[in-house]
Amino acid sequence: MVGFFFLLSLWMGYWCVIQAPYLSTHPRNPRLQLVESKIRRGGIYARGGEALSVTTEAESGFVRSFVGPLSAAHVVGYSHPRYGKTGLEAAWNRYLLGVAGGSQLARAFYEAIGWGWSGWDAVTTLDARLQEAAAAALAGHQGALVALDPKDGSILAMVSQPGYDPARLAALLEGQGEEGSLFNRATQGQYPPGSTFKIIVLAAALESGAIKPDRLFDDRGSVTIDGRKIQNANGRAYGPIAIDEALAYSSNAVFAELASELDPRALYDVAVRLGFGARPPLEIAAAAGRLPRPEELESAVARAEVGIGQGALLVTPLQMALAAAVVANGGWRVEPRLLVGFRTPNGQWQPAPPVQPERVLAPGTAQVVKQAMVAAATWGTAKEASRPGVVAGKTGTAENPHGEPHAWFVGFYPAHEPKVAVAIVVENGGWASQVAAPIARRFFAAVDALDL
Amino acid sequence: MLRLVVLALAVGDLALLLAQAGRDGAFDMRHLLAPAGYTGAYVLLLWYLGKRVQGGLADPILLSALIALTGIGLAALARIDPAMLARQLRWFWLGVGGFLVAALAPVWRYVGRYRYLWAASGFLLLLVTALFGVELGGARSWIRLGSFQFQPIEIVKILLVFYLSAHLAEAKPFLSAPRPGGGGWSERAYLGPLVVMGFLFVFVLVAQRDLGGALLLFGLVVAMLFAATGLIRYLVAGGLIAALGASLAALFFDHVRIRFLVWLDPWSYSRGYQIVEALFALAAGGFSGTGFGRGLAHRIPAVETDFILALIAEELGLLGACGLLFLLAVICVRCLAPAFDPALEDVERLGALGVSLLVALQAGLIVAGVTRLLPVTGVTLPFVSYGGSSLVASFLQVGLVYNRLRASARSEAGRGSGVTQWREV
Repeated sequence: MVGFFFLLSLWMGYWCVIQAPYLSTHPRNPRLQLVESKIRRGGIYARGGEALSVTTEAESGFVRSFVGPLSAAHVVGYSHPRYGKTGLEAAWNRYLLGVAGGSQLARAFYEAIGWGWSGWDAVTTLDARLQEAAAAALAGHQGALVALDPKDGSILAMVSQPGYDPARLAALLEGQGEEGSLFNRATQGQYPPGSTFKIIVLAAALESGAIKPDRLFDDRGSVTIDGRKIQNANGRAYGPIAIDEALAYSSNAVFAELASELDPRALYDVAVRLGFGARPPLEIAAAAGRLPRPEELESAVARAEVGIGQGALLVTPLQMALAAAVVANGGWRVEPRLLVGFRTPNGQWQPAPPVQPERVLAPGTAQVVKQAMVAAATWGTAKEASRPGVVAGKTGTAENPHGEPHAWFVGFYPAHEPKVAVAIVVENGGWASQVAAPIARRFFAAVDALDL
Repeated sequence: MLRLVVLALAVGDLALLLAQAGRDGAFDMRHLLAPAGYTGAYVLLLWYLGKRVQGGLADPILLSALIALTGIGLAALARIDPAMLARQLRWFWLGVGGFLVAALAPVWRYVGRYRYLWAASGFLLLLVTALFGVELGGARSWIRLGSFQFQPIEIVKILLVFYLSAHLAEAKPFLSAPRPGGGGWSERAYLGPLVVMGFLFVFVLVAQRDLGGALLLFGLVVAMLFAATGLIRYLVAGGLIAALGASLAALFFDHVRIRFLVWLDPWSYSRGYQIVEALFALAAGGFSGTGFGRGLAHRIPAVETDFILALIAEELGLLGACGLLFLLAVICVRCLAPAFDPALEDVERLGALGVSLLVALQAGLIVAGVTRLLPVTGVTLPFVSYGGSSLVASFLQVGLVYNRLRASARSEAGRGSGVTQWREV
């Protein structure tokens, strides 16, 4: 009986002591809200030092205001006494309040605010200039653009349109804003990838050894797999064609046949290694998309549909940009990141953890895929994206049940020394070559102009 | 030993003063009223036990634990609301009176004699509650008489301890066969009524939606059966039946399923609010607590009953909460003493055992609920939670055991053993 009470005491200790640092700074803890009004919340800054969200002191107390480019509002989020927190404001809350250290138990914290407590400043990976360029490139369209640095996964620009103005949050949440403008399409929008998924199919075919890079296919304009006929977009038959040409022309016939020949497991494994079907590890809300399991890919028709990016497949723009970054990196995968580091009130700099790249594609595979993407962006379907600096890219015109097809562009630039990997989606935009590729070109022009 | 009792009273008084001062932000002369009422009741009790009753101070350690525990309990309620403290103080006086009566009245000689009377009246009480009871806090477990209302389950607990100790005292030899069924026909004849009674009680409680009560009474039957016979198989069978019953209940009753879901993932359900807030309170208390009046746990719904431990853990810390469990453990362990006294009747020994198990089970259920070890079942923390029936019943239970502790002390004093020194305090 003594042991029974002793065990209960130990279990209480687990919550009171071991779990205390986590629970004391949990965003839902009312104690935190009580003291929050007395803490000078740290600011959020772009990588160049431009302020995005800052706290100022007014008569009535501290006021939080968003001061960055409006297109960054989805990533930064808001911190509102009534409507709560989203985005980085929520994810980094305990740092912005300066209570992240393990020793900051609630009581120390009650006392600390007595002497004027300041939170930590956060520096994000967003580049304010590139962010504005991205928003300008996408202007007038509904959709998303993600640009990241392939070397370390830093998200340089992330735009979701329609956007919203955090200053008008109250009106927006009371239902007076544009429908769905709070939704971050770049990380949470799930779309069929269309032909952009051919990049992944090509990588899977090369990785599994199913084809040699010099294999010739016979493109008759369409292919019939188990009674299902899959046609090229323009109906053209390219005849004998190499695999990189097939990607450049975006041949549905070749890729449907290629995918149908692949082992379901091999196709699935490469897609998983490239980050599909799983939520990317990111501080802000991000969706997992949908990747059919190997069992669902048992039938050749199912594989053929995935081969052209249709069927049960759903991806987010962020996932596509990360996959493009793997090709840009010669086969190394990096995790996406939004944090450069925190600056504590006493000037200490706490950098984000170091990058840990992971090899997910053989160098040879990445090289062949890259060449094919360069071909596509030079004379293929993505040539509207071409720039003097050599673009690697792939368009996708994704059929969907909501009307006009979604227009995709996925690629990186400059092809031989990539500074950015991007994914662009224009919802119901129509032909990708005419809609998405020019947006990419405008964005790449800005990359050159800014001299990253 | 007198020093220990004085220390316990000092702990209770200090807690009451600090709790009220913490609540109001400053000390006030009126804050002396509650400590006076609390100290007065115990001084009268101790004086009467010491001077007028043979073997009256049989166990000063038990008395001290009781004094300190009720003091901290009253202090926690004082921290929440002065009106609540005033109401609970009246129940507390009644409880101390009940303790004295239970400790002095010649109850035990009747316990063995009328076992089916206890069982039947317990069952009837529950049935009446199920039929004519009023619903408060989701369970139909209250009886209202005019402006006065109480929870019959608190009386039923005592009646069940009576029944079980009477039945097991007689049945023990027949139920202790090394192999199940080895006791032959009589084993079944003795196990039968026990099982029927256990299930009847639990069934009525489930109908009232009083899950905590059902679990507590079922646990009591199993624990006493195990303790009386020492056979693991009763414990295993009881555990299996409880697990099966809980799973079936979760399948068929929405309110049970919700409790399970909330337990597994309190963060995702709005009903998990209480438990999440309780965990925040525990974390805020840390090792030494925030001090009375500086926490936020008093805002948790039902903090005065189910979640009183969260308030104590926040404002008195892990140290205070463990101290509280220690006091409960002392009471349970001291109540076991008569169970090992060969001079007492089997019924009395089993009765003391039953009370000890009852208090331990009840405390365990609610502490485990508040700390997310088990789903919250809505039983009170003995001697601490707000509620008249619960407080008075807890006093009666321990009083009944004290009754036998006195008997042990007297019989040992008669034999000239060392226990006499307790008379001299």
